[in-house]
Order: sequence, then C-alpha cells, then structure tokens
Amino acid sequence: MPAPAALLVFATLCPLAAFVLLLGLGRRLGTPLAGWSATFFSLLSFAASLLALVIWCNPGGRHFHGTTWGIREGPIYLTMAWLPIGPGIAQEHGGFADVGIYVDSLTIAMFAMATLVAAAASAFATGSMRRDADNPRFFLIHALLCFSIFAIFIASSILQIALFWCFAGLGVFLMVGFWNGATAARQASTRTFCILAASDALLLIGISLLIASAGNLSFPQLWASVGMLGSSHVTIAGIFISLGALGRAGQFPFHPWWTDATEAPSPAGVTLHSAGIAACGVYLLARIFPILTADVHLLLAITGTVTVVLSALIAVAQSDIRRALAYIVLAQIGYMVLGIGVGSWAGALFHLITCGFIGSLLLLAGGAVIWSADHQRDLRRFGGLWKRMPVTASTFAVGVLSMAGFPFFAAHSSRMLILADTAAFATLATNTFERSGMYWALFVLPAMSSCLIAFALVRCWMLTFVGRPRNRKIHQKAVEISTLWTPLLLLAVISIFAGSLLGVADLLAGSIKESNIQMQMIARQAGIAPLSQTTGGFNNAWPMAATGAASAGDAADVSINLSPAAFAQSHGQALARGWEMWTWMIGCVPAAILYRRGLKIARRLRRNRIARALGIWLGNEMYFVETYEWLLGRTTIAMAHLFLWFERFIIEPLTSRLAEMLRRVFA
Amino acid sequence: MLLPAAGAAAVMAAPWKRAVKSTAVGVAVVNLILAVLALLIFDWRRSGTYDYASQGGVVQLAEQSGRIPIIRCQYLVGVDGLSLPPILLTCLIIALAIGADTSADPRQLSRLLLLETALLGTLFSLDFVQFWFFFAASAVIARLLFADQKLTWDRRDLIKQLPLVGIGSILLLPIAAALCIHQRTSDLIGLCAGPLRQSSQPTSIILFLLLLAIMLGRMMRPLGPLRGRGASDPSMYMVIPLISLGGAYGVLRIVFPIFPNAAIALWPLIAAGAIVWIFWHAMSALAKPDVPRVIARLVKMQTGIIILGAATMTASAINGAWITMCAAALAQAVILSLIAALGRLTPAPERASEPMTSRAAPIDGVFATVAPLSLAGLPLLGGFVGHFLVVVGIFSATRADSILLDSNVTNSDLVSTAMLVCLGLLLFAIATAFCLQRLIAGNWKLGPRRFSQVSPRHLAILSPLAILIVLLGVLPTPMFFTITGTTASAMFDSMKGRIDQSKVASRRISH
Repeated sequence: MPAPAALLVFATLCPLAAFVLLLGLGRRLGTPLAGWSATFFSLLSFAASLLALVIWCNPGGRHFHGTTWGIREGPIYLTMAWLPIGPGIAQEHGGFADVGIYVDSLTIAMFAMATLVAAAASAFATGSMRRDADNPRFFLIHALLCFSIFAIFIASSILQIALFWCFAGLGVFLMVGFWNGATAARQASTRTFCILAASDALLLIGISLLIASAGNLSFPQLWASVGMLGSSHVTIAGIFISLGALGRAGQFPFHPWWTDATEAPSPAGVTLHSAGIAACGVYLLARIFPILTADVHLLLAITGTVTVVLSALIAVAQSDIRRALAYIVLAQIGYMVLGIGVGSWAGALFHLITCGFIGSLLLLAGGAVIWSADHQRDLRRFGGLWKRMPVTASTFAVGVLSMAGFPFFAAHSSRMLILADTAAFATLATNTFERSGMYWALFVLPAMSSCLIAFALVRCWMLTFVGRPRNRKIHQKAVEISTLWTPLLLLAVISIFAGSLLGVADLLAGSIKESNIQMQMIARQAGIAPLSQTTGGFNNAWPMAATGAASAGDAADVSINLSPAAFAQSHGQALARGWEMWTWMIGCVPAAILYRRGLKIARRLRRNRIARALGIWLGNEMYFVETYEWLLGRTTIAMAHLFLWFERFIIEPLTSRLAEMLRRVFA
Repeated sequence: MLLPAAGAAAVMAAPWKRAVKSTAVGVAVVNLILAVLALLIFDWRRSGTYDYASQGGVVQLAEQSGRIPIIRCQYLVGVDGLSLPPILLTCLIIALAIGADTSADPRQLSRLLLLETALLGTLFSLDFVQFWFFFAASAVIARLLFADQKLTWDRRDLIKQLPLVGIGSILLLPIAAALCIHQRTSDLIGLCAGPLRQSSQPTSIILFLLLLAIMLGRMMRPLGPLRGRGASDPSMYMVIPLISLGGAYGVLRIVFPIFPNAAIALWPLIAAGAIVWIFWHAMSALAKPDVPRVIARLVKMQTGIIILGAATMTASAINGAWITMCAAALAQAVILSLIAALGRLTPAPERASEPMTSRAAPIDGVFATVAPLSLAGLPLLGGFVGHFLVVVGIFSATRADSILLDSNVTNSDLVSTAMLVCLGLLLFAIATAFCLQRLIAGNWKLGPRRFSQVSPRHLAILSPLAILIVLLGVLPTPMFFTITGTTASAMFDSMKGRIDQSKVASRRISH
C-alpha cells in the first residue's frame, strides 16, 4: 500500500485504538489519564495525516499497480469485494459492491483539517471535562465519532460512507445524551437520533435505487458510468442520497437536530457541528457531484439558501451562546450546500475546510466561556469578561472577524468564491437559459444573510466580553486555564491563514484532475464511452479562478469553454467581490453600536410590539421543534398505542381462544 | 449428523458425573471440528445449476442409500452453500451450550446431543420425508428438554406452542407424503425442478400456504424467556434460536423453491403481510419501549424480513434472507443466554421491569447492546447485511430479469414495498434507541449489590457469538457470501429458468 494511504488508514485506526483502550480501561485510567490517552491518539492521527500531506504534495510520479499517484498525478484507489448485489456497470469485482480506500488531494485536505480540529477538541476537553465524573465516557464516544468520521473521509464508495454514517449516528446519539441525567439531554438525544435515522433511511433508499440502476456504488465507477444511466433513475436516486446528506449537514428541514446537539458537552461541538458530522454531509455531496442532475442541483441550491436565511435570522435572536454559534456555523454549511447546488464545487469545499477551523475555534471559545461561567450559557448574564479571559476574548475575536468575512481572513475568500459562482449561476440561468428572475434570490438572500451573520457574531462577542458585568458571580469566577486556551490559540492562527497554509486551493484543483484521470481510466477499462473533456463530471463545476491558486493549465482543463459561462463567471466575480468587501462592515458596525452598552439599547428596541413578537418567534427557533414533535412524534406514538391496544384486546384474546380450542380438540 | 446421537448414548452410559460432562463436551467439539472440515472440503468456487455435483450442480458431499418404494423415501443427505452456514452455527451453538451447562445432568446433556442430531438432520436432508422426520424429532426433543428444565413458561405460551409447533410437525407428514407420491420423488432437488414449480393452480397455492404456515409456526416460537419469567440454565436458552432456525430454513429451502409460481401469484399478499408484521411489531415496540419487549419484537420482526426476502426471489434478497436468518440466530442466542444467566442472579419479575444499566454491569451491557443492535440492523453488525440485502433485492426486482416481472407486480409496488420496509426498520431503530437509552441511563432501583454480573466463564462462552455477529457485519464476504453466493445464484437461475420466457420478453419491452 502506498505510504499516504497507509498513513491515512493508520490515522483512521488511531481513534479506534483509543476507543478500544477506553472501553476496556477507561474507568481505571480515570481523570485526567483517559483524556490524555485519547488526546495522544488524536495527535498521532494528526501527525500521520500531516506526513501523508507532505508525501502527497512531494512532486514526482510514483507508481502503484500500474497507476501513478500523487497531487495532479492520480489517486490511490484500493478495493475489495464486500456485498453481493448482482451484475452492474464497470464492476471491479463481478456481482459485488466494493469497499475500499480512495485517497486523492481532497481526502488529504479533509484529513489534515479534521484530525487537527479533533486533536484540538480532545486537548480542550481534557481541561473542560476534568470536573465531570463521566470524563472517560466522553472520550470514549469522542473516539468513536472521530473513527467514524475519518472512515467516511477515506471511503471509496457511497455504501461505505452510509455504513460509517449510521455508526456515527449512534455516536451522536450517545454524545448528545451524554448528560443523560437531565431530561433535556435525553429528549434532545432521542430527537437527534430520530432525525439522523430518518436521513440514514433516505440515504439507504437512494443507495438501493442506485444499485438497482447502476449495480455499482464506488465513486470512480459511478462517475465514469453516469452517462449510461437513465436520467430519471439518477435524479430520483440523487434526490434520496442528497436528502440523506442534507440530514447529516443539518439543512432545512432536518435542522432541529443541530440545536438539540448543543446539549452535548462543548468540545463535542467540533465533531458534531463544524468539522465532523456536518462536514461529512457536504463531503458526500462533493463526492457524488458528477452524478447529480440539474434538478438535484437546484434542490440543493434552494435548500442551502433557505438554511442560510433561516439560520442567520435565528442566530440574531438567540440568547444562548452555544445555540447562537451553532446557527452561525449551520449558516456556513448552508453556503456550502448552496455552493454544491450552483456548481461551486471548489468554493464549497474551500469553505468547508476554512470553516472547519473557524467554526471549531468559535465553538471551543464559546465552550471556554461556558466552562468558566459554570455551565451558564445565557448571553444576557455575561458581559465584561474581556479582562478575566483576555486570550479567549482575543481568539474569539479572530474567529468573529474571520467568519464575518473580514478581508484577508480565511472565510472571506472561500465565501466570496461561493457567492461569485452563485451570481454566475443566476446570470447564466436568466441571461442564457432565459429562466425566471427568481434565480437571483439564490445570490441576493445569502449575500444579505452574510450581514446578519456578521451582526450575530459581533453581538455574541460584545455581549460576552464588552460592557459591565451583568452577573457578578460569573465575572468573579471566570478564569482561563492553559489546556483551554492553547488549542484556541492554535486554531486562531490557522483561522487567519487556513487557505494558504495548507494549500487548500491547490489540493482542490488537484483533486479534480486526479478524479478525471481515474474516471477516464475506468471508462477505458470497462469499455464505456469516455466523458467529454470539457463537459460532464467534475467539469460541470465552475473553475476556481477567483482564488488565483489554480495554475493556468488547470484552469483551462476545468473551464467551461462557453463564452456565456465565462461572461457569467466574470460578472459573478465582480458582483461578489464588491459585496464581500463591505458585508462584514454592514453587519459588524451596527452590532458594535447597538451592544456597546450591553443590552440597554436592545431592550429599548424590544418595547416595540412587533420587534418583541419577532424576537420571541426567532428566539424559539420558529417553533420548528414543537411543530415536529406534534406532527410526527406524538402522532406516531399515538398510533403505536393504538396498535398495542388492538393487539392486547383483540388479537391476543382471539389467538389464545383459538389455541385453547385446538388444544381441547387434540386432547 | 449421527455422531451426537452416538455421543448421547455414551453420555447416558457414562459411569461418573465428570465423565458425563467431558464426554458431552468432547462429542460436541469433535462435531464442530467435523463441521469445520466440511467447510474446508466444500468447494465454494463451484458454480453451476441447482443440482447435485455429479450433475454439474452446486450440491456437494451427497450420499444416498435405501429406498421405501411407495413414497420413494430414501436416506439422502448433502451439503450446499445454503445449508453449510447453519450447520456450522448449530454445531457451534450446541458446543457452547454444552460448555455453558452447569448441571452435568446426563439426561439433559444427552438430549442436547440428540437435539443436535435432529437439527443437523434437518439441515443435511435432501429427502422430504427424511426432512420431516428430523423436523418433527427436533420439536419433540426440544419439548422434552424444556419440560425437563421445568421452565416457567405460562399456560398461554404452552397452548400457543402446541398448535404452532406440534400440529405443524404432524401436518407436515401428509403434505410431504402427498407431494412425494404425486411427483414420484421425495428428493428435494427433484421436487424443486418438478412440474409443480410451474403450476399456480389452487392446489399448489393451498399446499404452499400450508407449508408456509407450518414453517412460520416453527419460526415464531413463543419467546417465554423474554417475558422475564424463566430463570433456568442458560445453555437451554441458547439453543432456542436453533429450533426457530429450522423453520426459516424450511421457508428458504423448501417452501419457496418448490412453489415459486404460487409464491409469485401470492406476492402482493405475502409482501403486505410481511410489511404489516414489521410495522405491527415496530409500533408495539415504540408504544412500550422496555428492554425485553423491544428485543422480543425485534426477534419477531426478523421473520417478516426473511419471508419478504424469500418471496422476492432475487439473488440479493435470497442471500439477505439467509444472512438475516443466521445473524438473528446468533443475536438471539446471546440475548436469551444472557437473560437466563441474569435471571439466576436477580429476581425475575424485578428484572423484567428493571432494565440493566451499563453502570451496574458494563461487560454484560456490551453484549446486551451488540445483540439487539444487530437485530435492529446497525451497520457493521450482522443484522444490517441481511436487512440491507433484502431491501436491495426488492429494488433489484424492478430489473428486467426479475422473476416477479412475470406476475402482476409493478415496479411501483416493489419500490413502495422497499420504502415501507425501510420505514419499518427506521421505527425499529428508534425503538431500539429508546431501549439503549434505558440500558445506559435506566432508573436503577435494584442497586449494584443485587445486580451482579454473570460469570466470566459464561461471558467467555458468549464471546465467540458476539465476535461472529461483528465479523458477519464487517467482513461478510469471506464469512458467508463465498459460500452462499453461488448456491443462491444457482437457485435464482433455476427459478428463473422455469418462468414463461415469452411473458418475460414482453415485460422487458414494456420495462
């Protein structure tokens, strides 16, 4: 096995080793040894991923089984037969669905990001969970989640992703219900499980449909054979798979699990919200990008837009710091889904990686505040913590600026790329294809929402760190410890330079080239007509010209050589660049003015009846949870009781009498 | 097949108590080794028709002797990819059950060995009358075994058991005899290739329904131990799933392959019944998600999946039903044995209302979690593979080469069925999550002192079963598919070959 693949397998198995160790010896190790053991394994994972990144980016073609691997050279693709599914197109092992390893530049980038934030979260948890009696159990579940997530990133087929996805669902259920003594945590974990299980079921239906039509689930084979499948089959399968991915990514209408997951301990937010489960949803969409038809793309774009708007609105009105931050991160995931929908493949993944760091920084910084405030999460009770927690406040500020889109920070360029491609998409749809002007809503609404997000971020920071302390006890107790601020400092530095430091743009451009090489090789081997060099597959995505990172050769390789598209892209870039330069200011400045004296001005505004009603509605997250509980939860339970009643009072007496009668006859 | 019967006689004749246990263990272990040897001898690469190896088929190690002329009954045994995994499972579970036995009672041990002979006879038989003999014998021996144990199954369970298992076993003989006389053969492979396959006459449909009812009766044995009343030897409880396995084997090996056309004609009815069955138990589990109830419902749900897989008659679905059968037997063996072992340690009524908590018994908790999760279909555990393949099989039945396209079943029927099965499984997953939550955070009224763990010896006996559940989920290919795959394909091809090709051609065009 080539070194990068072996290293990534090692990085995946490290959390599993931690899980096994903690399962057997967790209680004996106790606090803090269990935490440090888990952190050690996380750091090993990160070290292996970093080494894999270095080897991968080292120029010069290397060969394995007759194929070349390396950045822009080709992926590492290893498979083994797993499930018998009958005959299919381009099967590597006849009659079987395969599982295996697919390592390309995207896998390498995802591993570098995910292992680093997982290690940071683990190190953070050794400090923040030290007072908890069930400390080893946290690290046990955290290790299970990390293993599942890493296994998803290295997977070579949708089936494999679905397998570890369901496994991760169990981890999420256990993590959200970690403090199961509390009713809220138990209810939240049940709701989360229901939503995630529903999305898993949708994904499995999509996979089964794909098996029935293509008989193959491995990514390269699917990319190569998509032209041979009926468009209606692919669309239906794509819708189901996308719904499954949207469920994991917490997108509308699956978003209630996102806030329920805030019941989990703070460090778990990283694996649940920013760089873990949600990232897996976007990752799956990115991997199946070539098989998504235009209808599915539009569905994703609309869902992403609705989620961005919804999350931004709710985040502005949240008084719970964790929920506010969770919704802000959810909005970023919404941008990524929008990006995949409009064909901004590189933009979505670039944003995924930058927001993986920034979201983790914000969630952990929020966690540090909650920890020092003795698990108080109400923003209205904080204030003036700047002096007591200067490092946390500074790193939080870096996260706020970066996420708000402050120029030269990581998220600025990645979000601009998505918005530019969205504008290009709308231009192309309305100008060239003469579609409705409503397509512009896909650009306008998310662009305006970015101001709201910047507002919500600054509001969080101001209410926590600026002004007079609103609760003396919290203020006096607030402290900083090195185990908490060290990971924050690391993440803050990366949040500024995330894009250029890891060479993400290069890796993403390389990934497209490697995927195209693999796809064409499989098409040749299976005797399938190769996809056109200029259209189809990953070439449907907008080229990554806005970052300027991809070389001229690559740009030519992936660009759509149609003048309307080129015009649309340049138009989109001009629009997005103009908007992104000022968006942070439009959001940040009013928030800074409004909350500079704490809640005084905000309270005055709330005297208005409409503003108050709106605040309550948004504060209660538009009552989605309650609606779902009534519409789905209670109805199902009522039906279940009806079934039980029928069984107990109709079926059982009947069968018992029949059996008794037969017994008498035979006696 | 016959070694355990000889072993049973040796056990009864053993002069000392220690010799009783060691003889029984020795015989069971030797039998397990023989089963493993059969696996090694078995040529799993052989592909061909659903016939004997001498005729270029997949049925191997066949032996024949003796013949009763009127009903043409004979001694006819053989092994193929479908019977080999249950044979291995039976030998393993019986060996573990004898190892777990603490009584060293010669009667009990000899009956366990006799039960092994009867169960293996059911699996080895390629003659219908011979199959009936072992099928009925296993029911009688099981009854004697449990009656001797003075299990506290209540009267309701017993009176349900009588018609379901007893009458079924009795009724099977005239059906088998009638079929053999009518077809002039009692060879199961010959019956599968006979003219009855093509018939969807009312007689065939009635016979099909009768056989299905008999096998279902065997599959759905009442789960007395899960009601929390029984507290006997764990080894006895461990063999309960093997008796149910005989029913599932009959469904997959005899009922559907002999009457494929009748099954096709009744597919909507069977599918509707299976879906109602799955939903019914999912809903009941959701209404009262206490641990024993959810587990009992999960066990019953497997029947619906197996029937649906068998009725869909695609290679994936047949494989799926087969794996579900084996995975369910493994999971049930773990759960029932664990419940029996715990039943000895804690008062039964309290145990039934009081879920085990992970804090009280963490190691038991792992076993008690893995087995239900496998039944619920958590990925990377055995149950998932079976359930997923059945769902895939139903979707695959929409392909142009599907047997079901010969009937009036439309693609939308198949897709709706698969989606409803997914919904049923989703409801079960939610009920299992409730159950798991109680296992982890249940109210703990008994206290740690009264809730001691089962013995390390018993856990060591359960470990191979739990490892098999995980292995079956993680690496199913070497475990089962290399063995079952060729036979399932041969069976599928054999069924397909009998379908009216002109109808299929016209359906393909419309498809």
